[in-house]
Amino acid sequence: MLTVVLRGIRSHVLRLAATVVAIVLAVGFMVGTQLLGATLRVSFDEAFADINQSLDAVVRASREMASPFGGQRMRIDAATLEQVRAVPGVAAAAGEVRSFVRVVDDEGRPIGNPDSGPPTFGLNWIDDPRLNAWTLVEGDAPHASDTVVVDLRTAEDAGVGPGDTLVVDLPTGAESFTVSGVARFGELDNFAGADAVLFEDTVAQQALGEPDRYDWIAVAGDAGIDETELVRRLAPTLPPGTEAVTGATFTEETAGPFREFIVQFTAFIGAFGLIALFVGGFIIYNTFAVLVGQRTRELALLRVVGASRSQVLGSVLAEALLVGVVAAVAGVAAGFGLAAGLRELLAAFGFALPPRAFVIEPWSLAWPALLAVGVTVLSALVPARRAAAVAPVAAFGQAAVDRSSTSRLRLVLGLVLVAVSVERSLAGLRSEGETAFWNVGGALICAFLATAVLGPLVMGPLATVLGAPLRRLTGVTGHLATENARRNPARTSITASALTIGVGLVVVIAIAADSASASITNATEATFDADLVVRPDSFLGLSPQAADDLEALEEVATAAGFRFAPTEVLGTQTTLVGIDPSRAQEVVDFGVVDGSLDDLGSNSVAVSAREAERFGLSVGDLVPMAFVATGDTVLQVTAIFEGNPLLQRSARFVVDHDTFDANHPPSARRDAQIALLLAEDTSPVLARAAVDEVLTAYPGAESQDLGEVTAGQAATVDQAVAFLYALLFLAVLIALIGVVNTLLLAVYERTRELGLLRAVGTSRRQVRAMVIQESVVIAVVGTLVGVAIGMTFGRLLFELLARESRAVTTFSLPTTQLLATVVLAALAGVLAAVYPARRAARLDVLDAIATE
Amino acid sequence: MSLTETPNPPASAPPGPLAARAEGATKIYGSGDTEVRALDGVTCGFEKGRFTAIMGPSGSGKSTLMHCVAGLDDLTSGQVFVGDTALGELGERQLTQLRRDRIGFVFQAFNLVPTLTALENITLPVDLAGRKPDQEHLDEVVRAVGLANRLDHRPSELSGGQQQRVAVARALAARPEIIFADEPTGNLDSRAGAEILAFMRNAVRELGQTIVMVTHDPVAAAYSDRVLFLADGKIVDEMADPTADRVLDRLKQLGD
Repeated sequence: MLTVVLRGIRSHVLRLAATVVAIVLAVGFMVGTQLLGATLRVSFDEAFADINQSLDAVVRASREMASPFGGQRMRIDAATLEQVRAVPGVAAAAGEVRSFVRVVDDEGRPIGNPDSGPPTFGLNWIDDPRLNAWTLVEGDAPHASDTVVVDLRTAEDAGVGPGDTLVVDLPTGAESFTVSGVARFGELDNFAGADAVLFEDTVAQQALGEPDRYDWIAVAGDAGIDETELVRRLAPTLPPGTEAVTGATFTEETAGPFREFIVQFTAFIGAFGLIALFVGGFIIYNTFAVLVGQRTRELALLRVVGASRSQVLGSVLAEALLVGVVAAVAGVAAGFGLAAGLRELLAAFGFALPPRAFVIEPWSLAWPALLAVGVTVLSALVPARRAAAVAPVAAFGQAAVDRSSTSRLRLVLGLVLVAVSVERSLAGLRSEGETAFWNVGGALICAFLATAVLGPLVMGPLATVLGAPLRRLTGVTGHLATENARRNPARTSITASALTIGVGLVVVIAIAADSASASITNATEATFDADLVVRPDSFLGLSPQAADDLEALEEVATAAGFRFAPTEVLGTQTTLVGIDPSRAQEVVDFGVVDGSLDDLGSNSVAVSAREAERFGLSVGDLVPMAFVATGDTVLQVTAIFEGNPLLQRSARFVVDHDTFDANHPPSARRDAQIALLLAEDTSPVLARAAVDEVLTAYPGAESQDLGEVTAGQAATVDQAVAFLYALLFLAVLIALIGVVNTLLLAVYERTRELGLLRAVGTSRRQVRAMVIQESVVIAVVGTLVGVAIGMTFGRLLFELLARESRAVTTFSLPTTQLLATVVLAALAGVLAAVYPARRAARLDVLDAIATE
Repeated sequence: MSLTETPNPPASAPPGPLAARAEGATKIYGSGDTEVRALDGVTCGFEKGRFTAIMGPSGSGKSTLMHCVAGLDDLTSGQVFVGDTALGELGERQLTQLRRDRIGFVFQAFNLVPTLTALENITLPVDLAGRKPDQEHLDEVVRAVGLANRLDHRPSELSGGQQQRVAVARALAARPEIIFADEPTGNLDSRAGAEILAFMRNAVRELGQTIVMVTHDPVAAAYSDRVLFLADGKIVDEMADPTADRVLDRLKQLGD
């Protein structure tokens, strides 16, 4: 029987090509991303472990405030360092300081990663080699107050070396330094992706943090002392509000979020591999269904000469297994190639990874391969059962007609799936949070499955409707193409369904993205009365002087600076905004519902209506809050504002600049955004020029008008969407391979018919046109159904998003994009048909007629 | 009917105008030791308005001769003409057009496009040419084949005999200069076969159609006006006004 299987594969190896390609692509994608993910994860773990090699304990403030830039803690007194050094078992201890800075070139332009890339950090240089992960490759440590050490990559980017001058923008203002040396961070050329400037200890404290304070204290223990033991000894000696943790804990806290991100990101991307494999299953099913159909006589002959049903079943399954295994193994190999390519690509974009061999986790390579083999065998199961059901007598008669398209079971199963999909959708609308998304996701999968099951029942009518214009346009070839598209409704609709899935997902994303963009535009327009907005290029923010300089311009009526920091209210994390009440109210419509922002002064706070409701606050109430520099404070509520959703989300608790600055370190007393209102009777163009002239003194600051702000935000959405499209492209590509596959199989199957058509006078061009038109009909049917499903679920997703995130408020249907999708699908249909059409047109007429 | 009573001209009489002819037609497959001469310098003509049968044992070259004259295959040397058109000088596109507009085909099996109805199959060559069918002629052909009430049926809903009748109707509908039939009754029972053959003969006598039929069945050949006998790629004999018995005798001699 095995011989039969092997010979069978050999005789129609070309017909299995599409199946193999689909599996190789899906498995390759999954393996490649897993491989790169694992390598990234282990590389970073190793890098962190290496860097913190001799770090045995860390002493720091106990309280942490979460923020988008990682946890923030109060700084601790430099005097604690001496206390720590006195603890028995401590071999070395050093205070560390860290903040954002910006390196500026001769022309005043910032050097380093673009605004969305890793930031530039300012650090203090630690002399003790046991606690210093930096190694000088050139020059000396920064021992003078006007010297700095920079990382190797920054040195290269800025074109500086020891002795050269470098301008560094600090929280306290820009200053000129002499480069004393260039260093590497462990094995890396820069600070794990970020740039770094290292200062002398006292300079670092004053310029980056607060005088006589450290961010934390790094401790190395004596040889032979256990980390836990060291922490146990340190703990009782520390002042209140200070804690000691082991080096391992600290490393894990630093590396953990990185790892978590990589793991989640890998899983997210891997999900698209699963979608691709799911789509691939449709192709596999089709291929085996056709192969079994074409081999009915051969299978019957096997039965005649004594093969049992289970042997026939086994032979088809064995063939699927073999094809699956071969393709999966090739897919794993392709995965290695993909991972290597992606690593080069990342390096080209500046995300150089530590030089390291790929981390091969057997299971992460095995599961995509096993899954692919499983999908292959499972997809071949129904055709295999059909093969086993072939009666021996079929060897002598005509091949059985495929009646699977009209079975009642199909209708019942399809309707059940539709019902489940509707039920899950409704459940999604009723449930909340993550559950809602899972429900709707489940509903979407059911809808796709329902399409595949019900497809054969509606394929005929749909093809007829879509074929009507073709028939009118091209006459008999259009007629033949339409008839061909509907003659095997099961096969055609499965092919179309594969495309439906890809297109459906694309449409869901397009609708969500368009709604997000529209919501952003609406919200920004509603929030800002500002004419211009000035933004910095990094977390370093802008000096408060910038707003004052801008307001001093006669072209500018108001320049309102906004500062952001994490804060705690009644022990819960939330966001604090610092404003100048009189200026801010000019540019932002706060929509105050109670109290007045004019009363915002020392020890008072304004609260968004949503947060007021959440914490049960009203005007006059006293609120316990905690700030990064000063810790616990009590403020009084002076105003509650409604604003709009965007404002509600970004500004929750609002204080004036004095209160903000009094409770935050100098590094935080900087504006993340300045909103400008231009003077009346000023030319916007001239005003903008004047603003930009002032900004030349503030490297990295950029002015944007309202259109540019919304365009910038929309561009962020577009980038995310482009990324998702790129990932979905795989599924669409596999679906198109499915179309090629179906057409090729049809050309094989209809060889005699094509020969006949050619004999009675069909030209090659007409044959080509016929195959291409069939392809277009299939592609457009699949796409239209996909657009319909996508629109339904896009609307559902919008409902969920609107409920969960207040940022999405406006439903928007990207009509042009949807039309473009259908047109593109038709073009893709033409493209998919090129090869099969050429094969069909090239058939030798006599050979084709003679074919059995 | 007067036509049926007119005696056929004797085989030796000077031939009437020719619908198609072959001159020194030679077809060689392979080379060297494996060389096979399927046609070996065949010269013959097919007169207009007559029903010619080509007979011969398996491998005699009868199908090859038909394929070459019908523009489905090309010659190694020699020339074939349909009317005055030399096929050897035509390109692929012109050959296709020739088949569509000037030649009709009836094959042994699988004559019809399964996705088209009987009527659509009949008008296929006309549709392919982008022309409107001649409705009067079409009605006449349809009536003659007796399929008027089956025109909307798909081939799978027709019997074997009905399918072959549709195939003949298709060949006739385009009013080709010549129809080639390759074992048209090979897959049919004798009654259905007789129907088709009688129908073809009537088409020749009543509509003046030219038909060339390849067959190995002496009974089928008896319906023709003239039989050409092929053996080893050469024309070895011909017979006018054949009867089944005479043809059978002749074949027996050839077999010796």
